[in-house]
Amino acid sequence: MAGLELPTRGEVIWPGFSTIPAERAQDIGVVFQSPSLVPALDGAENTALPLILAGVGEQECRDRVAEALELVGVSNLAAKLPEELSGGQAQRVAVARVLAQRPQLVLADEPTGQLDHATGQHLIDVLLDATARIGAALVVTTHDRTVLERLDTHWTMHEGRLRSAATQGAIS
Amino acid sequence: MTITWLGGLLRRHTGRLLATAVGISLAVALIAALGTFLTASKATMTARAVRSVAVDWQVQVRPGADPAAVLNAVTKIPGVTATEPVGMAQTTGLEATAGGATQTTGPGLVLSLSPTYRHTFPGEIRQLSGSPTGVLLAQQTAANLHVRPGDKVSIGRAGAGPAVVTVAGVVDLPQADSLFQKVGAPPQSQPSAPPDNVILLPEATFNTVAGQASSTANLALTTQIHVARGAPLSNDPAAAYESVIGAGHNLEAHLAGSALVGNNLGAALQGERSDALYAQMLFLFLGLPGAVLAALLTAALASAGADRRRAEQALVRTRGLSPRKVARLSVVEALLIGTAGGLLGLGLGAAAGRLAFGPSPLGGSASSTLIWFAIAFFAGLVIAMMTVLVPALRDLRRRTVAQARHAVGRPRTTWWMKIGVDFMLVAGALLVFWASGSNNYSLVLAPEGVATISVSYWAFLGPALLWLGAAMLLWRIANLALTHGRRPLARLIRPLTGRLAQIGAASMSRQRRPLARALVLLALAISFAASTATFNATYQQQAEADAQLSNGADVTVTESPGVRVGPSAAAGMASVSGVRHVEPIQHPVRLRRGRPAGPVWRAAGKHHQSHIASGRLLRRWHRKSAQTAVAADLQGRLGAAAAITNVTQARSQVGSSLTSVNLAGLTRLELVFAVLLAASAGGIVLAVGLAERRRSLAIPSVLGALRRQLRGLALSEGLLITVGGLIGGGLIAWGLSQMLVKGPHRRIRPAAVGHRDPVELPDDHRRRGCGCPGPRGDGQHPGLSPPPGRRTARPVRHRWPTRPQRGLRPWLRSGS
Repeated sequence: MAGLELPTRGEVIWPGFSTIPAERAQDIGVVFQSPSLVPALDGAENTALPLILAGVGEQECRDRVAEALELVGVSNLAAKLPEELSGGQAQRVAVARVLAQRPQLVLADEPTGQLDHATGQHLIDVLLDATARIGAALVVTTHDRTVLERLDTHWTMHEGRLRSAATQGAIS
Repeated sequence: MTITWLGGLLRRHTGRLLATAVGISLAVALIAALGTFLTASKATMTARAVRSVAVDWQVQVRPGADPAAVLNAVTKIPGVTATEPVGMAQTTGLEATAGGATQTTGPGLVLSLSPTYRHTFPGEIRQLSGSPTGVLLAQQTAANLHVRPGDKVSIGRAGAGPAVVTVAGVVDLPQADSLFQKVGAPPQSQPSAPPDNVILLPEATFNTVAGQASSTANLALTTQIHVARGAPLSNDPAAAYESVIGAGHNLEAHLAGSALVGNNLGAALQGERSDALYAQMLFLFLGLPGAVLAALLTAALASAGADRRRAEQALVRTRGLSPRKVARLSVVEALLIGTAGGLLGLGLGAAAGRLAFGPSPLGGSASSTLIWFAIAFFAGLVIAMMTVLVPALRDLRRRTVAQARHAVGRPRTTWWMKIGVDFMLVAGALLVFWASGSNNYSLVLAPEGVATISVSYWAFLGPALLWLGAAMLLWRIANLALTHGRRPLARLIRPLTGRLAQIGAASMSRQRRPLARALVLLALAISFAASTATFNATYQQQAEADAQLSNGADVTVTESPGVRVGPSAAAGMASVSGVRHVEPIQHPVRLRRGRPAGPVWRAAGKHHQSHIASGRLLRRWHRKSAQTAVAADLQGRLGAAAAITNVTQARSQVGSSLTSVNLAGLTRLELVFAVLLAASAGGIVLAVGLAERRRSLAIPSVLGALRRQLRGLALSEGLLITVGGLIGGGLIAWGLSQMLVKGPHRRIRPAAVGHRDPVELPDDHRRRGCGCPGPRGDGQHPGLSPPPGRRTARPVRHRWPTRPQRGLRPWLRSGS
């Protein structure tokens, strides 16, 4: 869905986005299941990375990084290296990196998969709040029903096939 | 578990294992190749010393002792393969009449030779003209008397009338210095030169001549037993020397005072043993840093995968594996890497040796090769244990599982930086250099006649401290630059990384430890290559200059006595292909025309060339490769009687044994390893480091980084290491070369450096009245000019050589 892998058949189309993966990279932010921070960069630098790649100016980049870190409540972790962060903190920085990008769509792949329940819930709170603030859509893949319950619409996949779709309240 | 772990390692971490094994293989190969070279060199030196001696022992029968009994006793000594008695008697002088003029010499020596002597000791007498049997006259004597084979010579006898004999042939006595030695006398009491007047008589003739004289006067007859030994000698010249000297002393004791032993073989080995120590020094100087460097490289390669290893260790520990079992897995991993690296290194060592020394594997015997290969293999295992096992065990002991999972730490200042070990080492190097240079030390001390030899290992301390100190200082500088120089670094790498310049600089700054390590390793490899190349080039050029100084020209032709050399001879020689210039030099003719007092030295001018007794023609040309061809061409034209020597021959005689062994091969070997080490330091360390950080590079790729930008990041790191390593290595090499070559007391005497074509004659050569046309007003020989920048010809210590002159041994000698 994020364009990291080429489809074996057909194509992935997002309404309003370019069909060229490289062009739509800035419109889509990805939060990975496992730690995805560059070990040699601190929190602020990791957050700034997609902005720098997109050619955002230095001052704007600085502002957006500060804003994103503030948004997810990790401003105090800006100068910390990934190895100095806990799993939850690292995921929040990863979320900040996505938000700084100001994408129209955030894809989160099992974002709470490696976190304890409380930290996972907190991260989902942060994600929902932040995406709501920037007006981005959020797509989450999860096996956690408590996460599922927080989302408006859900789809079930079985053996690679989409089986059903439902809105919140229809989940049994 | 162990098998599963090993299988996993081989499948998943093939590259890292292979790279670490390659590092170990370099150390193993270097040790194996240089070690075998050392043993082979020593064996060559011993063989060379043995070959250089015509008569192993000269046993002189003391007055009053029975020569026959002494001969009988010597023959029964174990290890003695042949004996020949030689009688010696004094003559008041020799006289001959040729062309109406009578020439008379001063006192001389008459020798008695058995019919089998020349067969037993073929190196003692060289036939120049006439018959090999009968009365033989030494070359100089024949020149002094102006006689040829067939002429009559009168032998003066004190207290008896002269005995007249007919000359059958003229011979050269290549080992006259040892033949006419004062047996049993210390070196300082030996005659400064062998006698000029020597006549060799067959045993029967000698008995007649000496017997008649001894009946009326005491002619101081002496008898020597010349001995050839066949006892096996150690390959090590020092051990061989001790064995031969000991055997000589045993013989003297066995003969109970009835004879003295002149130990020519011992004297020859005496010089070689110091050369053997020089070879050992060379091994230490050139081999040890290389092996240390290879070990450091291995450590760097192993540590490049340390993060992953720690993470894996943590993983298996969390699954319940005890630290003991984890340690066992690390032992297995180290053994696997050590064995693979060792085997690879042995193959590499054999191949490198073949490349450097030719088809004979390093010139060493099979047993010495095997011993050194075993030592090298063991060293490889030790390096594997030190670089793979020890860090793993340390991590196991010191780190918690959580700590072990961390990949990148915030670099901290290491202990040696805090206390300034690098500054201390550099200061120590300068101090040792100054101290060792100011006390006229000698690197190798091998006193004549003393079995003990010693080496000044202090000589290595200065360069070693500088090498280590400068490397650590470079590490500090690289560390500082990467820590505080992010902005300039970002500007530098911007052409390669574009927008990612700041991020790249930040990443490199955080990765400064592995980057500085790779940079320092590269610098060490480059400095190792450059300093050893400088050292070897200096050594070889010095040996070349020594050879040219001793030979006098690229090729020297010495005609036999009696051969008349006219001006046309030089023109004839000049016509030989490859010859650039021919210069006639005339040697002294000692003439006596019935004058009562000592010899009169007359150096004939060019207009007297018809009277030259011995002509020397100096030849020069540019291409050394043509020397042998020209020498062969001239030999064909002038016949076997003309003695023709070239610089290549002179180098083997004049230079140290090391020069004659195969220094060029050693240089090739070192350079091959230096290049491999440099490539490994720069390339493999970087490649392994990048491979281990694949994931770090994958993240920016996911975030939209272009392939070009990622390539720029990797390239920036490579360039940083390469440029920093080149500059740092160049500076360290420069410092080492200054210390070794151009220090205030010149450990390597570099007079020949830059003067590849010096045709000079030693000052002593002139002082001794060599018979050259004589000094010009500027103190130089005519036709010879000092090299550019030199005002006078280079002085050479000259002594009557009991062995080839070694006055210019260049290596690490000070105060000379």
